[in-house]
Amino acid sequence: MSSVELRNVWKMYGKVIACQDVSWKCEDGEFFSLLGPSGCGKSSSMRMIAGLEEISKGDVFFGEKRVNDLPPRDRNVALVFENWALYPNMTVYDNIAFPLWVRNMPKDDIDKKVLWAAKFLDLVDVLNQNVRGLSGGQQQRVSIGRAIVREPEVLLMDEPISHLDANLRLRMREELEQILRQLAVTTIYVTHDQVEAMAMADRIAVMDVGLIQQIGTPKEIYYNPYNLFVAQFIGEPPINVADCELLHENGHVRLTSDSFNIKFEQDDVDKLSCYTGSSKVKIGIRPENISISASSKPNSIDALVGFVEVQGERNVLSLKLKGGEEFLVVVPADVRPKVNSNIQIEFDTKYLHIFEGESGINISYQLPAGITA
Amino acid sequence: MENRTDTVSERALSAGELSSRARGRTAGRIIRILALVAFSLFVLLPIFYMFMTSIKDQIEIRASGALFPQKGIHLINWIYAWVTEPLHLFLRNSTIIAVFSTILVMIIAVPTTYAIVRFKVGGELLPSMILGGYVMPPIVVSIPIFFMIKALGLANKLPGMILVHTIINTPIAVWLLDSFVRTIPKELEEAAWIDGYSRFQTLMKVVLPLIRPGLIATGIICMILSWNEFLLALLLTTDPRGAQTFPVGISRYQGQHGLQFGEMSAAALSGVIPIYLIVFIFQRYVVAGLTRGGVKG
Amino acid sequence: MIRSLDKKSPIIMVAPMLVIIVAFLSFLVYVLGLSVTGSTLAKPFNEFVGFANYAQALKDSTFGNSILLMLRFAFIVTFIETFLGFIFAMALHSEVKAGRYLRTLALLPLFTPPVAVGMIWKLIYDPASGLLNHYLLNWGIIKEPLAFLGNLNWSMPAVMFADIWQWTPFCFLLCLAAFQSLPYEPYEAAAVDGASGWQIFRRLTLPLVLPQVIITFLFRLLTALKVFDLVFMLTYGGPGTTTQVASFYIYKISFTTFKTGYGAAMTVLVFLLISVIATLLTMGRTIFMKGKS
Repeated sequence: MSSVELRNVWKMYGKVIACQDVSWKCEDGEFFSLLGPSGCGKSSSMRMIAGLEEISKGDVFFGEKRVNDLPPRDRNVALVFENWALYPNMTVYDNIAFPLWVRNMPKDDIDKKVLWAAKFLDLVDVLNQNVRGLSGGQQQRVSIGRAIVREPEVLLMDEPISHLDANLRLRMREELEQILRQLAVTTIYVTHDQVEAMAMADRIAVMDVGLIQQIGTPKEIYYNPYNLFVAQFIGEPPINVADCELLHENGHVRLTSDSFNIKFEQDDVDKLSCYTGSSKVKIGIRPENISISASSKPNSIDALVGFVEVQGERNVLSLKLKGGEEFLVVVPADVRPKVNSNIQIEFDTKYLHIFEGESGINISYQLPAGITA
Repeated sequence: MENRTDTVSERALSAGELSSRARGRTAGRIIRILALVAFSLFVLLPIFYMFMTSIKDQIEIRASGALFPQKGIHLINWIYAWVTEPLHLFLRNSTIIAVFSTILVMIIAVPTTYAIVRFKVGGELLPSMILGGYVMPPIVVSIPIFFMIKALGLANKLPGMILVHTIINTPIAVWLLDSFVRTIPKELEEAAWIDGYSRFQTLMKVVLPLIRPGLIATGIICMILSWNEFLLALLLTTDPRGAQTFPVGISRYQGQHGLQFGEMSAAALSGVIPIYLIVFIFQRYVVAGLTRGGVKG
Repeated sequence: MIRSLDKKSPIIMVAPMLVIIVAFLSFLVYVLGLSVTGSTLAKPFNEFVGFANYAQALKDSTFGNSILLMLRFAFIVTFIETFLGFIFAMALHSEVKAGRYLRTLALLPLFTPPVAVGMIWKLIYDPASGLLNHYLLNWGIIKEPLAFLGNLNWSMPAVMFADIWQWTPFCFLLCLAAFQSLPYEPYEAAAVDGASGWQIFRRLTLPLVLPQVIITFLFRLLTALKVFDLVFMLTYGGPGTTTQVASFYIYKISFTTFKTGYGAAMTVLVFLLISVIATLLTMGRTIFMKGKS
């Protein structure tokens, strides 16, 4: 087992830049997730780590060892492919045993290991079946079995459950989590599903268009997004965003727009008070950080109820603000205002983010008091 | 960027190269270039030689077998080829027979294949019989066909040869079309029925357009098979003014004049180059037809 | 209205084909009928001779020899063609850019009229005017021109080689299809798993292409048993009887000595033999396939 580090890694396909100056380090034994939408460079990064793609610029280290020039077979990584990539002509047993055959391991040792992996993954019953006849979930487990059976230095997983249907995906995610915790191997997990990454990873690297947007623990990323992209990509329902103006007044900051007028008090944020950039900013506030006020207060905001979605233990209100923005608010199940009624809402300013208008960078970047990483 | 294509060939990487980088890649490339050269030489050398012979001086041909003409380029063989034998008649006959027999073949084979695939007419037996029809040596049916055509008074007549080739090639056409027709999902036809088409109309308006590549492939292959057919043409045609075909015509160059290689080459090329052109233009279809049928077994 | 039309339409569609099938069957019956008579080309069905023709055929050593030649020819060329086709397909399947060129090239020998193929190779083998002799002499490999087609030892190999030239590219195309349909991802997995080129080939590639290679072999074998045109053009059965394969001998008997009855009997025997071979091979293949999975 070892750590994996990318230092200033670039990947170009002809003129197309897939990865731009990517640097991160996944520690020994850590569950590290690469998260981002299609085309963000996460799969390219993974394939470079595995040795399936040339590294255009930069270095990849396993521990202290620079692995750029090593072919895949010498890197001792295991890869669980998105489409599982099972050997179509072989049985489950043969698929799992393949990496061990390749290393000329004695038959009895192979047998022991394959049986261990099969028991671990609940595949004992289908060991002698050809993989073509298996269900999606089973095929995925065979793919994992093949990866773990040789105890690799690094385990790479490329969207392993994205091709399963929704129910199965949830179950497999839980199973995967369990399996991987037990194995305690350095794992790098690529996905576009932020729920997966948030639930499973120790740390996440969020990527977009080839660039690293933010690296941090799930909590850090959720409560303290570095920029607008991260804030919007993480979280379900997604964060509410609105344009407004930032005005400096004595001792505090005021955020104004057609929809609201908020006096923003953050005593310990020097950043805000010495912010000298454009006054055009965006605010971001998550649906669960908005509450309905019973009565009119200084920072209350008028809103028109558009739609009420009942989700069982909570409701999600779709509101329209005076300036035309549509905001989502998460409320307890017993709160059910009438459609087309006017209500007052309030932002919990502790969780209010302010993003610079042009760059999207979070200028209120810090952890709210009381939240520990 | 994340363009994952499906097959090894499309990625233009041979399998072994993935596991060993730099050294493997150049060695692999050298082997592939060598293979390409070897294959090209293997296929083209005889054809090229035939072409070279056709432009050699006749005396030189008798004296030596060198690859390139040593004594200049002569077109005399080509002139002789067309003059000493009625090559134009042979080509005319072969063309007419090929075209018309193929048209008939398609007319018969398409509904038949459709019926076999959709209605499972004939069950298991029919497809086997059809395959048997293709595999059977022509010699087996040569005697009865000979007598039959003679009895019908169609010996050495174009309609006779057209009939014969139609009979011979229809099983092949059915076999080739089979794998194409099978690719049409039933749902498409069911949608057509709901819209009011009859079975026959569905065949014409829905299925046929979708298997166009298969139709082209089958048609081309049948035409070429008819054009190349030798044994039955040999038995049944005696006179180029009748129906004597190109392959039989070429064999005459050796009988009548001794071995006049120059003329024979020119004559052969005259009939073969059109085929090569057709092959070049339609190669994608033809290969698809052959390999689909072949893959099914 | 539509319902009743539909019941009829399958039959309408197959009707013309049925005519052809009937024609074929009648041919077979005709041949059978001929075989039990002493027919000649001029006088078919003149007298009933029972199994006399068959008895004669079985005693006829020339006939027996022609069968052996046919089998030898078919098996040898099929092996070589399938093997070469496989090798070339393995070497060239990843040449995507040359695809159109390769495909055209591979189709040329296949679609060249066998008569023309015969003519080309007759030319190449010719002692005076031929390519082979010219360069063999020039390079000192032989001292005198060798008349391949007139030589008892070389005539059959010469015909075989012409056939190999014509059909290897076809086998190449079929095997190529198999190679080009290999899925890409398992190969990446194998690379990551650490397999060497040879291991990948043996464990992954070979099992996946083998079914198609076998089909190629079987198909080519059955079509090679039919060989006629090449023999006709190159050697006319000779020298002696060294290239007189079954189909050619039957042709000679039926159409040059005019003994169509006898020829028919031999035809039936050959047809039976080929059917038996075909059935055995298909059965063998099914067993082999089942054994694999």
